[in-house]
Amino acid sequence: MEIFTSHIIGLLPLIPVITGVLISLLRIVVNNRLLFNTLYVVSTIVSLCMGLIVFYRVFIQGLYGVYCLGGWFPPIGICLVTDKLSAIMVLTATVVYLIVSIYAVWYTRHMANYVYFYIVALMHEAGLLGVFLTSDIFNLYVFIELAGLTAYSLILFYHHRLRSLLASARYAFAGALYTGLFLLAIIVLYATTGTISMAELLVKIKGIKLLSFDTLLLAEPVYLIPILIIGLWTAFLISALYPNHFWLPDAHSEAPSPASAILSGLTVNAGVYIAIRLFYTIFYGSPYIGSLECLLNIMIFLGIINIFYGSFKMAIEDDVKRILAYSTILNIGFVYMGIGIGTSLGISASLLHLFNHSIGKMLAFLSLGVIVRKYRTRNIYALEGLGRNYPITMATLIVSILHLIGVPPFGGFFSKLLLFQAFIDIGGYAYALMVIIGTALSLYGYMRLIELLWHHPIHHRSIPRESLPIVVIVAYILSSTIILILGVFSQSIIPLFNDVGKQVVHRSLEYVEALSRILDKT
Amino acid sequence: MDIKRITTGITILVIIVIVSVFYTLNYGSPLLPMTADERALRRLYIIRSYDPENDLYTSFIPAIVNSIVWDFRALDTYFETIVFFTALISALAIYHEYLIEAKWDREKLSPIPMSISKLILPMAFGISIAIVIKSIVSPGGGFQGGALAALSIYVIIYLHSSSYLVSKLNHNLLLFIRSIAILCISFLAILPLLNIIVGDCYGYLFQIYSKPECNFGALINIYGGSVSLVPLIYNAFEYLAIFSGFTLLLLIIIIGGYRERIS
Amino acid sequence: MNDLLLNILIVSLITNIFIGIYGIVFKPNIIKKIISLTIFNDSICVLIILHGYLGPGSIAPIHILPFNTGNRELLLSYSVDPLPQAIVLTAIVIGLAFTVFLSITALRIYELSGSLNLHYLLKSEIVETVEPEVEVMEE
Repeated sequence: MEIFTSHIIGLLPLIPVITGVLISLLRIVVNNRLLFNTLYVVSTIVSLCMGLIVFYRVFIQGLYGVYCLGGWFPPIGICLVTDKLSAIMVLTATVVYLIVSIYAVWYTRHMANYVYFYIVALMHEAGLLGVFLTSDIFNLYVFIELAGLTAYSLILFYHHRLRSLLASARYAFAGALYTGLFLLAIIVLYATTGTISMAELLVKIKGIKLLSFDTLLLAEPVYLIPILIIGLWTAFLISALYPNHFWLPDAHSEAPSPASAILSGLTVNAGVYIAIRLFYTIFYGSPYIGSLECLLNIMIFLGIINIFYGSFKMAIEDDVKRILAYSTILNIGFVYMGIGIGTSLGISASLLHLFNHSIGKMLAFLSLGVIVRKYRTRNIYALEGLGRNYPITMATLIVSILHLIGVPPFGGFFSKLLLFQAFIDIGGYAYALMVIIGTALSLYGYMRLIELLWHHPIHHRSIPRESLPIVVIVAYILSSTIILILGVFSQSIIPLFNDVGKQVVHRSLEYVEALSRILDKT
Repeated sequence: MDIKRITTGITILVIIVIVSVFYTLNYGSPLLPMTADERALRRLYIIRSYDPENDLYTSFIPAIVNSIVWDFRALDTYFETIVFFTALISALAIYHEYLIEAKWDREKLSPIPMSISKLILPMAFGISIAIVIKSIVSPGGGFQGGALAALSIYVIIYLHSSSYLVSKLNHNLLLFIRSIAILCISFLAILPLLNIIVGDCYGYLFQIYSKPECNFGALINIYGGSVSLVPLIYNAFEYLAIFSGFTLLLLIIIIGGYRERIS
Repeated sequence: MNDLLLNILIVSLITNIFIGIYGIVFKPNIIKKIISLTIFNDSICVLIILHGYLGPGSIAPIHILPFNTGNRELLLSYSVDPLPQAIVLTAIVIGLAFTVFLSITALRIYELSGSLNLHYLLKSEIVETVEPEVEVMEE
């Protein structure tokens, strides 16, 4: 197992930040809209290229990426490490960001504070990329706060509406409270083990004898269980699992449509990533804690509650964007059911479902955003039949919703199939049945959305008068192509995700071996 | 002060003392693990922060906490500055149009506080700059200096008036200074990568002094030893960024809070 | 005796944290919520610094120039842990950024609705969803 060191890994969180600060500087000097649009889109293209290079080296060449900032090696310094889980998350983030930025160039055309939208979106991208890349728990806290603060700001961009401000305030107070507790948990972890670098934590908590590490815990191991629970609780807030889902419907529906796409598509990914990192890479199989089966069962149980809650609420909502927000809760339920299985096939199924959900939800929010923008209302009965004026947009909306439901030529089918197979493999037939029942229940909510938009109203005839700008068509074509690739080439994509699952569950030791060559001992 | 609050306060105090006495008598050890003397990381930080014999793998900053903040864990500090920057950008996103059209007229206070402030405020500024310059050998640094300087600006409101402050400050200039300062910090972080032009190797991002792989950095000789130069520059830019950031926040709060209720 | 004093300190800081949580969850006024959040964050920061403490007779983690090995041995035996202090420096700034953001949001909520009572505003929002919604955009 070899490592590669490249400055590209180090530059991934920095390039969006520098572009954001540059835009805020240039806004004072010039006021040219084309310049800001170009800077924004070019920055996301550069991030995508760097993400693709990292993906190629990690997956196709099978290397581990390690980059230590300032030249200081752990545990005194911070390193950015890319294993397969990080690489796939970084790729998702950069792809979704590129497509959303192309769309946002048109959508923010009439917003007076569009420059600030670009800056906050770029900082959010930097925060998410940092969460996925870092290998140090306190650095993870700093990046969670950056991603969270920018998410709260993205929600209140329509600041003339009281509801956006209230949704953002509710999310902000909950987030500040939970991450404050996470900081306390980090310090108790430091006092118990004596290190905050994830590689050494892995070795100390799992009690593995490796090279010259000392595996002593400095205090009673009884402190480890509350730390794990608080860490998972914070991850459940960011990704909206059952007790911590209360902020999501208001927040994702009140944000502007590009921001909704980013929040539903990527921020919930960060929560799932933190849960997998804390649970599988650091704490799983530890001799001090005993069996973690009950936590896995709790995750499956909360996932099932999410599925039923999401599908019921989706069927009775009147607000178009809230229907999609509840569908996010539904899909996160599926993802957590997959993580709770405990086998590598479960992890790969849930990560494939997460990837499919990001692309599909983004396309759904973007196409719905065009319709909502033109008719200036979000009520589904006010929009009844008006979808007929926008045939191309309705086509992409139908493609994304079929992808989210899981209809065969599109990729969503294969992720649900993999999840089903993972449950059958461990003999959880009841859980597999829940997957099917959940999908069937959500069918009503999704189809109601499409049927009411397409349904021919009695009193007037409508003539298609769609006039989409070129950037929106480019965004549609890119995302539909990715959805079709996910479906058609699934036979070559599924083995990649199987590799990720195996590496997360069985070979977490490689995380330490990659860093152990450059570890600092005295 | 009503009797209910005093009773609640005294009850909480009594409960705290009883719980801790009970815990100490039964368990004897502190409630949260106090294991500072056994941690290897503490010794590692003390040795690595100033080690003139091993001058390829040490950071020449005598104040250890500052060496952690600016050299070992520089990424944390950089992104905390960016978090503060983003909070101000979101404030600007809401109040941008108010700042452009601000008009003001209020009255001034008496001349005695105004003349006293002319003596004290420059002293406060001088102390804040001294905190920044001495940051290598004593605790402090860019953030503390910037906050102190900004506080002296806040005091001007009580002495002169809000109108004096609003007429003297230009929000575009403050945002300009802040963005330039953060861009310079970012440029310093990327500068080791550009070492390829003058040297023969790529440094690491955020590198301050030489590492075994690549030489980059500068030392100055003060206080009887060699001390690294680059954190001083980082601290100076951080001072500018925080100072202009706080002043911009003050401007937003004054102007934003004065408008009549829109309903 | 040392243990007793340390325990009193830790228990009172934990009580402070609970007071902060009580304020955030139960007080309806948004400014009181922000103040409770500040209490919560700052109590956690004090608890973090306490974790670096070595015992009576600790000295500050600063190398004295000119450098000699005796000073370094003294530091290695008696200085406090510098990492929690660096963590607190970052955590305080992040808490400050949150306070800034929430204060601006509170200012804007007051401007739009004339009330600072967050519980009342969140409850009364439920009635509005029955009406058809119109997205207001600056155009």
